[in-house]
Amino acid sequence: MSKSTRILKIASYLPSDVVDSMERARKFGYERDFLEQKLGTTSLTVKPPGTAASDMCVEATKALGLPEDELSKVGLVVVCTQTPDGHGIPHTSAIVHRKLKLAETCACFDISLGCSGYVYGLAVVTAFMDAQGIRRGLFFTSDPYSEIVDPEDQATSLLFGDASTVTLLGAEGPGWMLTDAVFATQGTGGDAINNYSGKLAMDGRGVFNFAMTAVPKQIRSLFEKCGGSLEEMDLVVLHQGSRYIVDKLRERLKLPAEKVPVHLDGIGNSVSSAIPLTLEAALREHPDAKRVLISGFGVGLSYATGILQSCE
Amino acid sequence: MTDTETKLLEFIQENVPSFQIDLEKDGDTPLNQLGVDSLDKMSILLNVQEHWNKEFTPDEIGELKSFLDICRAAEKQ
Repeated sequence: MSKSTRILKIASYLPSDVVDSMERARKFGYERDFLEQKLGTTSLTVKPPGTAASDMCVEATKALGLPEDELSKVGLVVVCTQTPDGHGIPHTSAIVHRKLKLAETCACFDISLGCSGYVYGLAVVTAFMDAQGIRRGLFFTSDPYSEIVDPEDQATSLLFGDASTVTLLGAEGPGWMLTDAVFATQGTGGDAINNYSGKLAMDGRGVFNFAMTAVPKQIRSLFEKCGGSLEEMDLVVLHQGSRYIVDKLRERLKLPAEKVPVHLDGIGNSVSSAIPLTLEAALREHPDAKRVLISGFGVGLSYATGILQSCE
Repeated sequence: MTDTETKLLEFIQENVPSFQIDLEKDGDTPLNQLGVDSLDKMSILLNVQEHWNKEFTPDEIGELKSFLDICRAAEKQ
């Protein structure tokens, strides 16, 4: 089976409603500087009341701007979410399928992953499309965490913003191929981010220590597997957990700031959407980039790192 | 300053470049009162654990409030 599926375009939806984090921050004794310099944003996007993950996917599709006859050719819809419509039955991708009026021959399934979901999802979606000969696919990320964040919780209420992205994949045309990837999980620490009580809970220190120790090792292991080096990457797009995590990882990886975009301002940590949102903005700003490393890490203490290579 | 104190000061200054400490006066003062916020403390403690090959439990971390608390924990066998 030859690899031909590539990313053709990424589009996104950011709700226009925002929460001013300063109001919440004052309750916890934080100043504006802390929010700007450590968290990377003083406001968070929040979906309009009554909307769900699938609605955000539909909005992202509108931003993609595909003509109707192109939409009818879509043979695969995958939604990466851990905050699905309803309680996950039916799967959100089937709801998106209905709302976009896609063909019956279109395969649909969801992937339940958080911050590592874009890298895992890309690997699954591209392999599925290659294996099945599907020539057009839509891979969504959509996690409206505002549904599960407790505004009184100091560990989470200043961090997470709602967002959705869609990645258009196809078998031909200029784009980006996932050439190599590595995947891992530290399930023993997987409770560090959980929704056991119906509200998001996070052990910030546990997640920080995990990210600082596991991610650099995984990046090194990727290059041991596929050759090349981190220095050869034009861009390194890390999961946008917070500005502090991105900065500290960049320091550990000894990378210059211009190679490691930070894309949190006005949004917050958008979970599985953080990498595609950052990638979308970074590729617009760096049209000459040829090789991009993407690395996601978080919920479940799941982590994944891959290399995207531009292709014709 | 002892080697431990010097190394810890280095770790703190990596996170808070302007940080200085008069150990006699502020050695037992909580770091958050000396301009080290909770995220910086997390990073400093990770460096301490890696450098001295320690693993602090969440309870132990809760007790590590001041510069000298951390030094004593780093030196503990």
